[in-house]
Amino acid sequence: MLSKKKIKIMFCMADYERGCGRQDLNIVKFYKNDYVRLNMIKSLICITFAYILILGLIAMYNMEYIIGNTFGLPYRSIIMWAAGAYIALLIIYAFISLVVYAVRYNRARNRVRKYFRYLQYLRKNYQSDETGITEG
Amino acid sequence: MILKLLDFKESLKQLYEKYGIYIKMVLKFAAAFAVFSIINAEMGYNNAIENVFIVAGLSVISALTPDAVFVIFATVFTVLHTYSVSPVLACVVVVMYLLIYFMYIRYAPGQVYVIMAVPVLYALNIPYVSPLICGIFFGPVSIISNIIGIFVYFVFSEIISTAGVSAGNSVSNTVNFFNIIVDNLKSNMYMFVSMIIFAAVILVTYIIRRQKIKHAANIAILIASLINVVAFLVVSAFVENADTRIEILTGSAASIVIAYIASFFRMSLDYSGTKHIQFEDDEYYYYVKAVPKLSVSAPDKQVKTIHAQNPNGNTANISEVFNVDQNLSKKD
Repeated sequence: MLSKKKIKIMFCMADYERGCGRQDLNIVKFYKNDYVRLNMIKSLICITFAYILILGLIAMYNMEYIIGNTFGLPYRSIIMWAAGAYIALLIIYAFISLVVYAVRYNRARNRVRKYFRYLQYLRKNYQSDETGITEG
Repeated sequence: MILKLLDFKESLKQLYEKYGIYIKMVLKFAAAFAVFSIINAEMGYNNAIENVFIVAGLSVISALTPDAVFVIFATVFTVLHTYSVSPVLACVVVVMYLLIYFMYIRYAPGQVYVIMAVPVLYALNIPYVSPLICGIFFGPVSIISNIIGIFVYFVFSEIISTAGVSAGNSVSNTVNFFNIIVDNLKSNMYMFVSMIIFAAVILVTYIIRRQKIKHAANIAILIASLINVVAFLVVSAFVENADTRIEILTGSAASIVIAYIASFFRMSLDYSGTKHIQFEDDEYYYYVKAVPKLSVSAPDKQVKTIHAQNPNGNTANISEVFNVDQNLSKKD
């Protein structure tokens, strides 16, 4: 028999599956710690690439000076400065990644919980329908 | 007036519900075509991609594919135009896009549209609409997107303004060209001031909109616009390369109208029907304020033309069928 509530729930579930549901289910496959750590590693790799690109741009901007003073450059302090900036950038982005991906995981988990509650409701409903038919 | 607007809103909503897929495609096509055309008009260094058929073709592809394709096409357009000016500079633009992706878009993918919209709005002379709408719809996270958008716009405006400096394509020339652009950007006070004003406007809009007062969104737009206009007028008096007063005033007026329309179509509330409800459970007291959405059902007019059919198959006039006096059905 048609039930308005059941149809509404199924519509919501289908809409969710079509929207962010697939992504959410991929996220909650992981434990929270694993998901956050994995994405932190990815972010740190991306930031390393970004930092190399930034260093490239800075080198390009100071190209004339670098070529003119190749042997007189204070390499030690440049390397120290570059390493310090890199570590600072890594720490900042590690923190940002931690917050962003933890929040993203929590939101996905809440949506998936609701989805599974709906699923459970539907299963119970169908079971009770089936028992009603067999008894009848 | 409000009723007519609400009526119009409902009609649009019904139309969207009915033909949502097609409307979305048409809108995406229009947006892509407008963005590609604006990039071509503003930069216009690569004749190959200025062809209207190429623009239309890529717009069609953008309309039929996921949103990311549209963004990629727009970035490719800018890179190709820059490549025509200087290949090294095109590499720098690619690096700039990669940095934006690695350092920001990965964390807030939806904000890519804000970053793309800001330079386009600058080209249309209505950049002030961006902080207003971002304050209403997104909140403080869009401050970074607006700042990046402003930076991207000024990078390209520097590329355009110094394009004539590039005499050849030798590496030393293009490196000099890059240095000129970076130096100009570093000394461009107007860019930095614009970033600060945009950030302030977004914050003011966001804070006022979040207040529990009637018509918070409308008040937020009004106050933030005033701050925006006053700040930019003051800046135009002291900073070089700033927009003229007329540009600021016309741009702001247009931005206010657009922001109001956007806000109206997003949310219109009936404050007369506000309900304050109180209830409690074991742990908390709840004080709930419920404001109903204002909606007007669109009139469903259907005009039916009744034609009677004669036995010989011809249609007859209604007055003939019902034996009404012919003179009554005619106007004097």
